[in-house]
Amino acid sequence: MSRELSAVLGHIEKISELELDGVAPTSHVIDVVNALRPDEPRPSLPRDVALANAPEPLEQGFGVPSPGAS
Amino acid sequence: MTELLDLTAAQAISRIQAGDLAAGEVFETYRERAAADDLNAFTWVADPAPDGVPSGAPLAGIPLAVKDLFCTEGVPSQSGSKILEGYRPPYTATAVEKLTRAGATLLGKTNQDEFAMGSSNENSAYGPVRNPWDRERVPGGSSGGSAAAVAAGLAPWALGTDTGGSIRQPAALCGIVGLKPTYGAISRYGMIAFASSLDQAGPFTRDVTDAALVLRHMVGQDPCDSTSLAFPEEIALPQGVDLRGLTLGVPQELTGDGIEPGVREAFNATLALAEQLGARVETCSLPHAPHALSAYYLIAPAEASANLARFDGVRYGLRVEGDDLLGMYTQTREAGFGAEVKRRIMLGTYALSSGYYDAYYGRAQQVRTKVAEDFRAAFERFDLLVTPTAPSVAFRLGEKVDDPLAMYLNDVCTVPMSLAGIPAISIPNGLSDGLPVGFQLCGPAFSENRLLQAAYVLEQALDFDGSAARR
Repeated sequence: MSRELSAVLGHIEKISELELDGVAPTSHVIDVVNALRPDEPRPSLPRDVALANAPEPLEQGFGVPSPGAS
Repeated sequence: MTELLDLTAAQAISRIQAGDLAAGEVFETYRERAAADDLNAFTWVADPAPDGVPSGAPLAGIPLAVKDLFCTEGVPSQSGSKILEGYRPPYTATAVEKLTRAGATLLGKTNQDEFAMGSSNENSAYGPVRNPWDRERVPGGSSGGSAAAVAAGLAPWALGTDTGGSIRQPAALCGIVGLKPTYGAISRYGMIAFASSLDQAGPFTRDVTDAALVLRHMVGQDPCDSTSLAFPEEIALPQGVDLRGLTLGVPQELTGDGIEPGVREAFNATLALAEQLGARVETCSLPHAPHALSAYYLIAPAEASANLARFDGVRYGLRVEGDDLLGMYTQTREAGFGAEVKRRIMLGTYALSSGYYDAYYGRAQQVRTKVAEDFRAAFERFDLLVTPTAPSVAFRLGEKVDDPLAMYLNDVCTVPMSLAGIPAISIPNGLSDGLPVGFQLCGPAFSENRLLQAAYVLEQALDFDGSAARR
């Protein structure tokens, strides 16, 4: 996998050739401002439905192994 | 029954509404074909016909195949990954919900590259999909199952998602229509995320009219997706007989080196056809397009590396026990993610890591700005830009599987539009050596009506016959 990743990075490094000083980065392409909905309580998923796919439902929550000593 | 398979979805809807065809018969015909699928296009097929299509619903009960990564309540939604094996979501994606409300019925879930990462559908944990034009070849990806199902007449139409070409490229390789709408036009709520600033849902159909019909019922703002926007106008069903008054730009960077000769010939022939139909066709330039692929393969893996952190064996999906919590996480991910997903998570975390962030992710976002500016400048001179959809016809199964870079180069013509967030459509552009070729048109944000109109006129003139793949 390291050989494959090196080939990909070699190709990607072409962008270092570009002159990009002062160019603003784009994280979102469409010009929108924050879209907030009214802060009103609504019903959420029933607990049993939310837990239905859990590998280890435990005391009405998600069971996980101990974080261990580290 | 053969006659039914020859109908487009819009034609079938007309017959149903006229009382000449029963919606149940359409569903059952396709359900039987999907259940007998030997392309591995489906990962799940509906059992009995769902009842309760709203009377008078515009989509009249026409069955819809849905890419695995759309959450569908109570129905397996695994995004092609072992880490989500058996996952049945408690809710349905907005795009699917809207189409169901308009009268589409869920026919099945389709195979895909794991988490939509791939261009051949060979990265699925559920096995590769075969191309109905040649079963030794790939259908393209990542929405390969949806494309193969529609091309083979196992579904009248299907949903896919496109992050860097995952609708358009498989549509091209399978000889059907694939549309990636403007980013934000369709809610992403309930789509299992790959790269959130790029992912967009869209239709696979046999023709442009069907694509417009699906799109019409998918668009709209959704309170559950803060990046979704109200579409500024109704999606019209396309019509028209010529392209008079339309100016088409041909970006030299996406139509030269690296495009195989048969694909280029077909492309040039269609440019000549567009001129005969009245369009003005001129060469143009997208100077940063050659760097788009590099930027994409930094931005998409970076976003994926964050999105995929949710698969940790705690709330859903696979869990492999370890000595402690960290051991459980690593064992689960080691067993649950395939090689390409691991590759991209590593690329993404590398690009985001302290010390490399500015050189990789930061620069990639700046390149994204330049790519979008190139398109804006081009659209001041041209109504639409056109390119081949993919640089080659469908390649052989296994041919590129050991060479990720060669695989990534499949996306060279589709990635720039994704970075710019603009709509693009691929239509069938004849055959090269018996295999389908795609012709791509793209336009400014929210120009879907103009795009569909031009694609429709070209489609009528090209008169492509895809029936050989529907035997």
